[in-house]
Amino acid sequence: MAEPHTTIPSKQVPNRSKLALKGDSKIVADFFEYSIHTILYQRGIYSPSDFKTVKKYGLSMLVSADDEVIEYMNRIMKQLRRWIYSGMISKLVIAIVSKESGEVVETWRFDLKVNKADDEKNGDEEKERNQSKEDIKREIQAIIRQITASVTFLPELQGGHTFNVLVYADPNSKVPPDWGESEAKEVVGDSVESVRFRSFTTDTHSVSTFVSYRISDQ
Amino acid sequence: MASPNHRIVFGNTSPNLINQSTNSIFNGKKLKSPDFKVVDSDWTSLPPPSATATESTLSSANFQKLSLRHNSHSGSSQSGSKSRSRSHSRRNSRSSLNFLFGSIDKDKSVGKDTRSELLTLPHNRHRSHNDIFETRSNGNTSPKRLRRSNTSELLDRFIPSRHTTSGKMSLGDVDLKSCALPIDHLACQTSKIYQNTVAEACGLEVGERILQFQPCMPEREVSCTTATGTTTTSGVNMSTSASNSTTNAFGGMLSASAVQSRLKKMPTCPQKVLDAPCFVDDFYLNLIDWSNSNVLAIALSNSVYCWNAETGDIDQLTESSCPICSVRWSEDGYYLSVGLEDGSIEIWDVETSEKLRSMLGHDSRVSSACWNQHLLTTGSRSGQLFHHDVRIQQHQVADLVGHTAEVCGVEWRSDGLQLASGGNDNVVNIWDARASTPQFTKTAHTAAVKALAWCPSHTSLLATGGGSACKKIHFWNTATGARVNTIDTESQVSSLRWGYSNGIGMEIAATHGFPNNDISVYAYPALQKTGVVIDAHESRVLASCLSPDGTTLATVAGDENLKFWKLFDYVINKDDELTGKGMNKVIR
Repeated sequence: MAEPHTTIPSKQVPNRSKLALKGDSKIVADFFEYSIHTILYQRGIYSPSDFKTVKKYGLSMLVSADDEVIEYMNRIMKQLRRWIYSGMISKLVIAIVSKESGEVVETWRFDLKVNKADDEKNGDEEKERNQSKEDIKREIQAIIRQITASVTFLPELQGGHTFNVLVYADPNSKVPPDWGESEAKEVVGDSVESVRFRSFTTDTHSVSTFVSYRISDQ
Repeated sequence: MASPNHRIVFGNTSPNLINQSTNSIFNGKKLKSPDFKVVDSDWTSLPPPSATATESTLSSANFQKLSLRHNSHSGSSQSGSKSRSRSHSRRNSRSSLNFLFGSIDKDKSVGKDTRSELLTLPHNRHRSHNDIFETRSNGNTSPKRLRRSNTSELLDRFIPSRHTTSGKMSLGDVDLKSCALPIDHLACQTSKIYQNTVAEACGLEVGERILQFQPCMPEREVSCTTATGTTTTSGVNMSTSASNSTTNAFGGMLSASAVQSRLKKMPTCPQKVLDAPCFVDDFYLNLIDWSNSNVLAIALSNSVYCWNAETGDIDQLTESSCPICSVRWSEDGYYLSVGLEDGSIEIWDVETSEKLRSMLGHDSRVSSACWNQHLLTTGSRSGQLFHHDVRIQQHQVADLVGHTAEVCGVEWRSDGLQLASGGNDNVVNIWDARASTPQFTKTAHTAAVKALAWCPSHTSLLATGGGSACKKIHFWNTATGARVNTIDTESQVSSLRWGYSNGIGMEIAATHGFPNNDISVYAYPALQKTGVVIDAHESRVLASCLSPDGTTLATVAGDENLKFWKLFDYVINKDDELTGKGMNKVIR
């Protein structure tokens, strides 16, 4: 991807970082999209028959085949991409909400940290640039595997559930038409557990993943 | 105005500070030199041992003249650096004192011819004084001003000069309140410094905002259970093109051209004036309302009149035995609730002009009411707040406990999920539609809260305005209970109405009572005053209501006039979500 030994003329740095930012934003956004699909599948929000298999990150990923769901996801992703690129959001939360009680039963949290390319020192820069596409792919692969594996310890969801997509945005960001203010949706109760997954880092972003859920009383 | 920073800069010129710095140099050692003592006493305006008070002032006059002369000589040396002048003044303080004395003596002897005498002083001494005088006269751009300044006030005569040196910065210090006149805003906008400060100020907003993707997820049959049909995702998609206005960057400034064109659109005189004889001049009552079917109801003393805005017809709907304290249309505009002084509530069918029912329950006058479909929420003087289901006999279905004084404002959110109420106990309560205890209780206001308005484009945004002791408009996020913004209007807020204006976007109109009987319009979220009708009424504006198309504001005041103002533009929106009909559809 980059030749670590050649020194980059200072003039070109903003150019490169801009390109890198764009590419990294896409990586992050794609990761979010596939993660959401995986969560929807793994947590049984939609019937497994609605999903189809695609190859991504060297894995067989399940994404929804339902036109409406795809359309719905596209609307979310379109805005998310914009936000990720502009660095306006710091968190993405997928809240799984019970249809009957309206309680939040599970939240998937993705913390997004933007590493400002400007304040990197040269040494850091080289180190960061070493993060090749392959490495990132491997990191993401590990996270997706973890999400898939998490079904084994997450409680089984009883009854119908729906999901909400929330973002923690910059206070100055413009609110797009489809989005509205909300309270923080968090799993409440005595026996709430959180599991931290692996994280992955690109040149400009680092994403860490958490899941919070309620332990069943039995 | 002057920041401590300035003080330090100019402190070098102040003789007291010079002494301080010398003291610090000598590290606490008492300075025994008589010369220093003289300096001390001279500046602290104690009579010096060898000279009387008049002499010292005379000498100061000399200072002035001399410094003046040097100003014109050196000209550009005004901006002497801090450290340089300080060290110079220290080094030369001794000789300067000698010089001072010399000048005083010469003053005595020579009298008016001092200037020429002074100029004949030996060159090196003279030179050493330059620095002191330069620092002292630091910042005086015009010699004339210096001459004019009062010699008897030794320490103060340089204060006006602070403005001239810090002129650029002082522009930045100007903190225009949002209630300042729109013209002032325009003037200020031209200054880049001001823009920067505002940008900084806007950057200080608290916390992050949590946004949720509003549309519900597509429902699919999930194998385990069938969907119950209720959607748990709260919030109806109400967002409209209003928030997409090009100029309406969140928290940003409005473009000057937009403000200017908005200013031109502001009416200077009402479209129409109707006489409202016997209108009760009471801040806590809600005596007018404009229905979705374009009929305006107004209560004049004991009777209710309906003015049809389309035809201009006026009908007397009812004449009751006791004064009327509130009128409110149902959402569809067919029914009118009338709250009475004796605590009863009447429901009237307007088409047939019949009283449908009378509901008792309140122990004091019913001064506020609001409909949510079949549910009528009424507030009374004693702080009671009831939900009445108008369809059933046992009409009182909920008793909302949260106010200790007269409830003077009640407003349902357009989707009927939340209710806001404001009282004379200075409290704003936000209620969940299903609960009888407040979801949030807000005590930020310092006066009665009568003005309540839910934003039509952002469902969870509520604006509340305080009475004459508060004068503020607070904006709340009712999902989290957080205060989002505040405007200080400098006048009592009697009502608030949201509107839309082309080029600006969302705006909020506030009507004012004491001390200014104005109508002012603020852009939201820029929080900038975009228009004002100064002295819209001859006495305090008591209430207002918007026409169903959202363009015309009707205001009524203690001067018994009902005035109509064309304040806003149509919301250009194909989905028609902002109008009442669209809302009803959404509500089902």
